[in-house]
Amino acid sequence: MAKLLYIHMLGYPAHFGQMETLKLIASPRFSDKRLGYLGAMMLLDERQDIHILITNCMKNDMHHQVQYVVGLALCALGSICSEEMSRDLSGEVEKLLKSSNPYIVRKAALCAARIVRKVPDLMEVFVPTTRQLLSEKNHAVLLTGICLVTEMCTVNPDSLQHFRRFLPNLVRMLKNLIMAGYSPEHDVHGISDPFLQVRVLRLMRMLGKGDEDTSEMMNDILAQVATNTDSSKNVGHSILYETVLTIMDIQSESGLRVLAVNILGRFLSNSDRNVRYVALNTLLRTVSVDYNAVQRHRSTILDCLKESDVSIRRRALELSFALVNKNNIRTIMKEVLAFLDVAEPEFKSFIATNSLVAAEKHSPNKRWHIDTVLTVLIKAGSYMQEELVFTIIAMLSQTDQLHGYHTQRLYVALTNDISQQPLVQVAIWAVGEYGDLLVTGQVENEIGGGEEEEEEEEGRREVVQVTEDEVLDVLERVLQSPQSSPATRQYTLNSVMKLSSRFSTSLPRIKAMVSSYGNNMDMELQQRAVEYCAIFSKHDNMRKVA
Amino acid sequence: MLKFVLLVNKQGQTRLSQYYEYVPVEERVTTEADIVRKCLSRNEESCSFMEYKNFKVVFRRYASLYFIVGVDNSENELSILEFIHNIVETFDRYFESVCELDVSPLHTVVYASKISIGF
Repeated sequence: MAKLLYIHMLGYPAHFGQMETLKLIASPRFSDKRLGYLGAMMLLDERQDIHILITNCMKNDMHHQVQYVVGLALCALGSICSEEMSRDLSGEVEKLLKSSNPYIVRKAALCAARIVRKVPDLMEVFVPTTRQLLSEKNHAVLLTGICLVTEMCTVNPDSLQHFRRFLPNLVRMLKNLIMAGYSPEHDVHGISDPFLQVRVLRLMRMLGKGDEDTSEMMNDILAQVATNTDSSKNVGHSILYETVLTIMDIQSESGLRVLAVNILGRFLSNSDRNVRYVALNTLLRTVSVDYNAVQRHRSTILDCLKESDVSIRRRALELSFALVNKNNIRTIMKEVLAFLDVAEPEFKSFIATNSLVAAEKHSPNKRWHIDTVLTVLIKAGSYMQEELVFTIIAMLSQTDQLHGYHTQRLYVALTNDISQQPLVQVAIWAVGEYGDLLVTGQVENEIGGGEEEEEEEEGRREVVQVTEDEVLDVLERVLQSPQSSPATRQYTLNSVMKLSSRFSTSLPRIKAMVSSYGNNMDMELQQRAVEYCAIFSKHDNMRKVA
Repeated sequence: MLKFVLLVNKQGQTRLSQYYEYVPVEERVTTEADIVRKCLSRNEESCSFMEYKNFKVVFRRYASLYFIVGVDNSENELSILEFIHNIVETFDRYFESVCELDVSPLHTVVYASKISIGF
C-alpha cells in the first residue's frame, strides 16, 4: 500500500487501490489503520462515492479509546471532508472539541477549521466552543483555536463583530509571549513561539480592519512588539513583517505608521535578499497610503535597481515609478535610463511605457521632456508599442520652439540605426515635417529661467547641417531596407512627398522616387505613389501656396 | 493558507508531496515540473520567494533536498521560511541526522509530524 501511495505521489493513476484503503481502515491494528487513512487522504476525493463508506468507520474511530486513532480519524476528515460527511460528523467533532485531552482538542480544532472552510453554514456549531479554546494555556491548542477563529472570520465577515469581544484576550496573550522569559518548549532562536505570535497578529489585523475602537486597543501592543522584537535572525524579521502588515491594514495612528515605514526602511538595508524583497513588496502597497514616508528611502530603492536578483529589480522598478514626482524625476529617470541598458526584454517595454507617462506628467521643462523621450526611443525603440508612436508624434508637434532641435537629434539617430521601427517612424515623420529646418541648420533654444545651467551640464550639442541629397539618401535607404515594416515604408513615402514642398533643389529626384513605387506589390504604397504622382503632374502650380 | 508542500531532490525527482486542496493528478505533475525547474535554476544569491500563476512559492535548499511550499497571497513569506526550518529540525530530531533517503518510504510519520505542528 505504501508503494502504491508513492506511485500516486509521482503522478501515476492509482485509483484501483481505493477498496484496499477501506479494508485497511476497518482493521483493528493501528499501523493498518494509519496506512488506510493515509491512503484515503491521498486517493479519495469528493467525486468518488466510496468516501461515504468511510463515514461510518470514522464515526466509530472517533469514539475510540486510543487518542491516536481519534487523531487519525479527525485528520482524515479534515483532508477530505465533503458536504455530506461534514454534516454527519460535525456533531462528533464538536464534542471532541470540548474534551480534556489537548492532543484531541488540537486535531478537532483543525478539523473544524477545514469543515468551516468547506461548508460555511456549519460555523454556528463551533462558535460557542471557541471562547473556551482561546483561554487555554496550552500553546498548541491556542494556535489551533486561533486558526479556527481566523478561518471563521475569513469565511463569514459578520462573525468579525462577534470576535472583536475577544480582543483583550488576544492582547494579553501577545503580551505574555513577549514578556515571558525563556521557555524551552516554545522557543525558536530566542523568540518564544513565533508561530503563535504571527497568527495572533494576523487575527488582530482582520479584526481591526475598518474598525476604530479595536484599532485603538491594539496600538500599544503593536508598538511594543515592534520595538521589543530582536531582529537579528529571520524569526524576528518575520514577526516584524507581520506587525508592519497589521499596522498598515488597520486604522492606526500616524506615529505607528511612521514606525512601520522605518522598520521597512531598515529591512531595505538588510543584507538578506529575502528581507529586502519583502520590504519592497510591502512598500509598493503602502506607497498609495503614505507617500512621503516612502520618499525618504528613495535612494535605497534606486540602489536596489542594481541588484543581481530579478525579482528585486522588478519590484524596485515599480516602486521607483510610483515615487516619481516633479522634484525627483531627474534623479530617478537617470537611474532608470541607466538600468534600461542592462534590462531584460520583458522589462524594456514596461520601462518605456512608464517612462513616457512619468515624463509627460512631471517633466520640469519641454526640452528635458523631449530629451528623455528621445533617449528612451533610441534605447528601447523596438520594444515600444505602436500607440506610443502616435503619442510621441503628437507631443513633438505641440512643442513649437523645439522643432529644429528634435529633428536634428532624430536625424542623427536615424543615420545610426534604421532597425528599430518606432524610432524610425517618429524620425521619418519629423524629417518630413521639418526637413527645411534640418537643412538650414536652425536650432532654436527654449527661453526660460534656469536653462543656462542645464545647457552647460549637457554640453553644447553639435548642430548638424546636411544637404537635401543626404536626407533623401537616408529616406531611400529606409524605403529599400528589408527591415522596414510596411507601416514604416508608408511613413517614408509620405515624408518624401512633404519634402517636395520644403526642399527646393531636389524636386526631380523626389518625383523619380515616388513614381518608382507606382507598381509596387503593396497596395497601400502603390496607391499613395500613384496619387502623389498625379498631384505632381496636375497641381504643380499649387506648390508655392503649399 | 498552505496550498502544497513538496520535497524535491537535485535531479528533480519528487520525494514527498502533500496537497491541501484538490488538484487533478495531471495538473499536479505539470505544476510540479514547472516549479521545480524554476527553483533548481536559481542560484545561491537569489531570493527564496517566487510568484507563480496566482500564488506564491517559498523554497529553501537543505543539502540535496529542496523544500518547496506553495502559499496563497495573504501569507507571511518569512514565517513560512521558519516553518520549513521547523520541519527540517523535526525530521532531524526524529531520524537523527536525516538524509534524503529517509524521507521517501516513511512518509506516514512525516504526515503525522507535520500535522502536529499545527498548520
